[in-house]
Amino acid sequence: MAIDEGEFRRLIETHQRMVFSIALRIAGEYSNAEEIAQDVFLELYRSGERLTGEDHVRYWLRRAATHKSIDSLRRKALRPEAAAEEWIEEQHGGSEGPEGSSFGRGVQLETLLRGLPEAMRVVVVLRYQEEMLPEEIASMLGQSVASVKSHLRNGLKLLRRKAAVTMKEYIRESIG
Amino acid sequence: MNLSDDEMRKEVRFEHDLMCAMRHVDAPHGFVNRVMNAKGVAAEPARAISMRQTVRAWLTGAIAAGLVVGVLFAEQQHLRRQREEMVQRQFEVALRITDHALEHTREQLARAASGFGD
Repeated sequence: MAIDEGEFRRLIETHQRMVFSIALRIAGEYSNAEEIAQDVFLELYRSGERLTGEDHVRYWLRRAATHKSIDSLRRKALRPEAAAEEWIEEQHGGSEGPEGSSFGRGVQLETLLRGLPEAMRVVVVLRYQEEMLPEEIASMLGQSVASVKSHLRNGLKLLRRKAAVTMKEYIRESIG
Repeated sequence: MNLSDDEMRKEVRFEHDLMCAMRHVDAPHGFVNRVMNAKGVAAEPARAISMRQTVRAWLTGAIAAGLVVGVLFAEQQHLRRQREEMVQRQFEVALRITDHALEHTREQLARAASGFGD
């Protein structure tokens, strides 16, 4: 059964930020993220799936956005793994944003996030952006809870190490 | 591995910073309208798609069935022709044998007649 046009518009308006943010942070490119987000909503429309309630819709959109972003990343053969391994060299010559402010800190953390390997990046985005529990992430990705927790732990560790080298406030912390 | 209170505090603060950094961002301007337009052009309601898929499946099935019938018919024709040729060959062999036998009989009769006359 196709979704009614008015209802479809409402769903896009309600969930566009979530879907776009997942695509942007996993796939890593602005234009690519818009394309993915658009595909997600069009698939929802085409599927004619009977979604009952906002939670069901949110779950469906999150799952579709995550899987499409992972697919896009793999298709484009982007290798964040390589970036993660070479992050020290990259960051030595890197430019720094406005520091001290939470805005600057956020931008820098996002930049560091882009360097995480795919598996870690996906769970970090779902955990800290979508505030999903490891059990929910595991169920969505079809992985074991232990594997999700391990990716999460390693992802955070890698991010903290990067931050300790590149971001003033964390450098101070790691020294102090 | 047990973390010290200080380490724990830093960890919690880092997670909090990360959560703040990862707030939802706005979709590009005009996103909703672009999706609505794309829906009109590229997307079709599920029923239309499933109808088209059904027609395509039936068409594929009909073509496949037609091909199978055609192949079977050609094979039947070929077998029939082979049978006819074999029958024809057998008939010709039988005819030659009969001719030969008749010729032989005729010769014997002729010989017997000439012996009779002597």
